[in-house]
Amino acid sequence: MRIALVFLLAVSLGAQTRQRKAHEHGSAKVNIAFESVKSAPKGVIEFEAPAESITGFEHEAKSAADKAKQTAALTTLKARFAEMVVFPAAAACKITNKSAKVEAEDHGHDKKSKTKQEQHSEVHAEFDVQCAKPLTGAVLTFGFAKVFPKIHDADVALIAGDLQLSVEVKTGKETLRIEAK
Amino acid sequence: MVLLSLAYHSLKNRKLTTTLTVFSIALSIALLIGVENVRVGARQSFEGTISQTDLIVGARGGSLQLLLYSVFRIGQATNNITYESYLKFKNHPAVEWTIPYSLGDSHRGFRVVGTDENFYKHLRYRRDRSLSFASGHEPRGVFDVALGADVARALNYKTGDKVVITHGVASAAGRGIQDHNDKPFTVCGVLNKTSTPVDRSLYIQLEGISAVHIDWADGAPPMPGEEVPAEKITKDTVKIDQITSFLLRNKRRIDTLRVQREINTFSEEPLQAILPGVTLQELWRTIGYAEDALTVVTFFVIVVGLLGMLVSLYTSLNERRREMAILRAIGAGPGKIISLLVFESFLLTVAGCVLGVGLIYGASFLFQPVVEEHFGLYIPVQAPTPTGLIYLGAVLAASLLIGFIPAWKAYRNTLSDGLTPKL
Repeated sequence: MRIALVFLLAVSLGAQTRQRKAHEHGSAKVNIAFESVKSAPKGVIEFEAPAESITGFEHEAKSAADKAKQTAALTTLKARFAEMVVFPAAAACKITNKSAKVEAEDHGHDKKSKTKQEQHSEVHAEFDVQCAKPLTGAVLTFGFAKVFPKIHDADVALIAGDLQLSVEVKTGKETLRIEAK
Repeated sequence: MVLLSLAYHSLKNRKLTTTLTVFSIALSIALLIGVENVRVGARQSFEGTISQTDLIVGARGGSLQLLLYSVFRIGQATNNITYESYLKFKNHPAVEWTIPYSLGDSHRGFRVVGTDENFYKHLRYRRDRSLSFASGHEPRGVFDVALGADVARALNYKTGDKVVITHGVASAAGRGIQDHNDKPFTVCGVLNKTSTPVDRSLYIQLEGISAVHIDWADGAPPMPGEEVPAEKITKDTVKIDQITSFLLRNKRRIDTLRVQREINTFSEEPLQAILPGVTLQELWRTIGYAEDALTVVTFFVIVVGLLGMLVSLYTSLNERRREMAILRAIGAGPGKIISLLVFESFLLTVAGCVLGVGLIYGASFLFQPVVEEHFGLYIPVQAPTPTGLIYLGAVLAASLLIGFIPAWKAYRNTLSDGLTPKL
């Protein structure tokens, strides 16, 4: 009886955690947060995109060629992020990478299933941003496709003090003005 | 200077036509700026529905759905969240405050919201406005209920009245699944109007929601004789085990992304945290066709206003053929004639713009409270928006262009009329 209960509990817990995150190739997500836009604003940026849009594949990099490709893509992401999220030059912002990695979605192991499970992986990166000048009224521009042509659209959300703004970048011409609408 | 003097005296000589033309332009401009102000006001009202809240948290599902039932009281949650999970994030070191919402009951078509004292203390709208009471105070007892301003007005309730809430969402006529007749609430206060969805709900304590269902079993009301009388229910005897959603404010804004990630990846329960400002903008983009419609209306208002001016100037030319002929006779060249008329149309438009802007701001100032009271639309009296200024500039530029049409006609007339125009 006790074994049956433990089994039921395990099954129910398993059912709860068995969830799939939405995964859309070509779509990136960027969250930017500043405590305040006054004086010398300091903030964080989170970047998330399907690995396919950054490295070109989503399977585990096992071969030397795949590993090299993945490393090169992550190096590009770290080095050229300031071209993807562009702060106005007048604000003199410096973007520093904190982390960048490829994370595979954990599908668990279904040994009974003979069908091959689809594998997804995502690139997650975090950056610090430090600006020398206030960002009030600053206009952010975006160049995702210039650096990674496979990124076709990006949802950008920005928190700046009590301001919460968003823009969907599709053509690359969209901007985000940091001021109350 | 001569041109100004000539234009002024000429316009003064035709007081009635001039006044009517200026007034017609002023009405168009007032409508133009008014429509723009309504467009901006509607957007600001919408986006200001909730302020100073970093995250809205509910059961995992759609972000718009979570926003709709938590802020606008539209639709239902797919799932509730456990009180235990709520307490976990309420006591999170990065969190400053939380406001819990428990939904599901109603009263004569208005939603009943279970919440706590933080709702009255911390909820902000339109940047920094807080809730206040027109009469009475916030609920303190299990069976106290505070009313939104629209609820009190629509149902003509006042402090001390008894209110029976209905299980589930009842129609305006009061037909719901089951009335909680045995546990009536007493109105303890009426909130001041906010022109937000807050006005259209009744507010009780979280314990109140649990209290009315204390003797229910398996979603059904108690059998006769198994009811728990209201007198025996105190805050200590009821247990809150679930809520619908909660608002969350962090101590530091910069922690918002981190806390959001923690909530979205919370392993004990599938939760979802959304940025309300961002989701409000998404929703506005979804329903933004109304804004586009207003922009189209604005465009037609400009066209009609300018055409009105053109018609007015053009028709007045007939009565001015002698004036033009004399001007030509005393040596005014074609350039002077054309300049005079173009300048006149510009002057008329400037006067119309000034009068129109004055009219709409005067009206906005006078009628703002009435519009807010009756339509729930808060239109701030503020300086013209950049778009509004662009519209004004475009109208002035268009008036110069339009002025050329009667000017050219006047010049042509002077050639054919000579000094004896046939009037």
